[in-house]
Amino acid sequence: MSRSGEFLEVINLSKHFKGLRAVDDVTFSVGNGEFLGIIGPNGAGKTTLFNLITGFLKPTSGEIHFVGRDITGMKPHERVKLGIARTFQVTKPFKKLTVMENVIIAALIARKQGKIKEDEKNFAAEVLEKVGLLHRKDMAAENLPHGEVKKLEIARALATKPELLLLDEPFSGLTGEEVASLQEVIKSIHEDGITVILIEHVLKACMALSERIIVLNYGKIIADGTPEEVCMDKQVIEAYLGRRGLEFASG
Amino acid sequence: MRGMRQGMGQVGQGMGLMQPKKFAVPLVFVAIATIIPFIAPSVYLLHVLILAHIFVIYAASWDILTGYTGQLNLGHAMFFGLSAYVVAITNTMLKTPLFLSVLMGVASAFILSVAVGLPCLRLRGPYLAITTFSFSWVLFLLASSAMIWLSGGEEGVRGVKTFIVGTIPNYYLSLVLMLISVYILYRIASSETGLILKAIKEDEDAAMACGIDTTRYKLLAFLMSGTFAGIAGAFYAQYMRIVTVDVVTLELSASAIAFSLVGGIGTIIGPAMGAYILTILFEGFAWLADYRVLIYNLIIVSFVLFLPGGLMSLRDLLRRREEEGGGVGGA
Repeated sequence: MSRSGEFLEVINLSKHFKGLRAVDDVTFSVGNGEFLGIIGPNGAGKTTLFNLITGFLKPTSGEIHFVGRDITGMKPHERVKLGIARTFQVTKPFKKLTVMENVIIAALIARKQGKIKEDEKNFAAEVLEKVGLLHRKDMAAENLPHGEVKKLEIARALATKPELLLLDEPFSGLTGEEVASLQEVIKSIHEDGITVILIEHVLKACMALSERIIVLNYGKIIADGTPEEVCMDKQVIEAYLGRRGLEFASG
Repeated sequence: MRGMRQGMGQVGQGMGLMQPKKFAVPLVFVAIATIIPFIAPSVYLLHVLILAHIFVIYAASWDILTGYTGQLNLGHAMFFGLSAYVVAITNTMLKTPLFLSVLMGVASAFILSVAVGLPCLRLRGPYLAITTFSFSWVLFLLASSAMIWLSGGEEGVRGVKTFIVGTIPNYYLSLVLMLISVYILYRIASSETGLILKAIKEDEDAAMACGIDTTRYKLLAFLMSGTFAGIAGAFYAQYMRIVTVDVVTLELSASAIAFSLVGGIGTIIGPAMGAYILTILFEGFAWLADYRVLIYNLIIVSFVLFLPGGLMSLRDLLRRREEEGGGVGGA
């Protein structure tokens, strides 16, 4: 049972809320440097899965392994220390703090953990530069437009110096132009060697970025493959469009 | 990158210009506070100022937990009161030396902050508020009835020893203690730790996602808050030489909130200012004292409605207007 070869491993993971099986016996693994997309209809259990991987929820059963370590019982901040960072679907900026301070807080912790050697202010500025927010550094986070709050979420996650980055619907509510610019940012983050798992409703962006896609429906994995394979999958089309849609799609 | 470095340089310069102004106000305050006994040698005035100094520490200590960390504490008097009682009881009944009694008093506040803090770590919002309120209420009930044989109830514990006799020496002692306490709390609040506490206040989930051990930092905030309130309570006991049930009342807990709202929550200096102003005001209008709880509540409600940032927000407003004015002039 040597699991040391895998980067992230999710093994028979389940999360039940009273009667509802939000995540139902899910097993998959992610390789180091991979870009994995997770899609699925509303309520398919995508965000619950993220909360389980990042430690914000405790699973009903199952295990999560990260770089060969069982992290199932670890708290969120301990997982951040190991290199797992996340963004939130409903953005959670530190509203009263400046954009710079938002990022400095994460960088500060990374410095204390010895992940960065340089001054946290410089590092935070680099991260802001990377996502294209440096010109906003002195603005209070609550005054940022929505599209830039999404970028701030990513900047804050990057400032924890992660190896694995989980992005929960970073494109939701963005204009076409903003989607394109953020897509570039995420692409370059992945090119820096960070493993990315992306939950997305904006399928076009998700398909363009992901090397592999997992489709969730009613808490179960119904498809796992390249974007092309997944698009052709009958179960997936049915989950998104219903049975009629499937008939329509297959002519 | 060049743009970035220039930007940072400007920040540095701006702060350089701010420095003299930043120290001016505290220095003027210390200067005036030092000469007051010479220019106005009224025992009564000095007594009021000593009380003000004690409440400044008390208000600033409330602010580090509630103002900075966002953990609503409605029963702050419990730390002040327990410490004051422990000093008085050990000193008068067990005849321990005052210095040891004071240590025990502060230690008891420290222990109480752990005892209250631990169950509170998992609580948020109204649940936390109710829990802190309940702890202080239990202490009040013990002091006012259940353990009256120990606390003396309204009569109080009398005959506590004092470090130095006389109003003027106590005035200076309280001034120094207040300045040191506020300075320490202010430095913590402006440090990395303070920024982390602020992050927890803004959004606990996001703070966790940044890698912050929120449990540890919240407990730290409880400890600092309780301990400094304990220091204030211990000084109060040795200065007043009598400790009555007043030190654990709902009124005293409410005053921490009123002081802080007047001055500006989450600024340390604001609550300190608020404590100064309100203590002097109440003593000046002694007939108001019976209506204190009512007035505190009016103050709390009106500041929440009309000036939620307190007096400190007026300063920020002025500064912003100044900057805007300067900007226009420059163009």
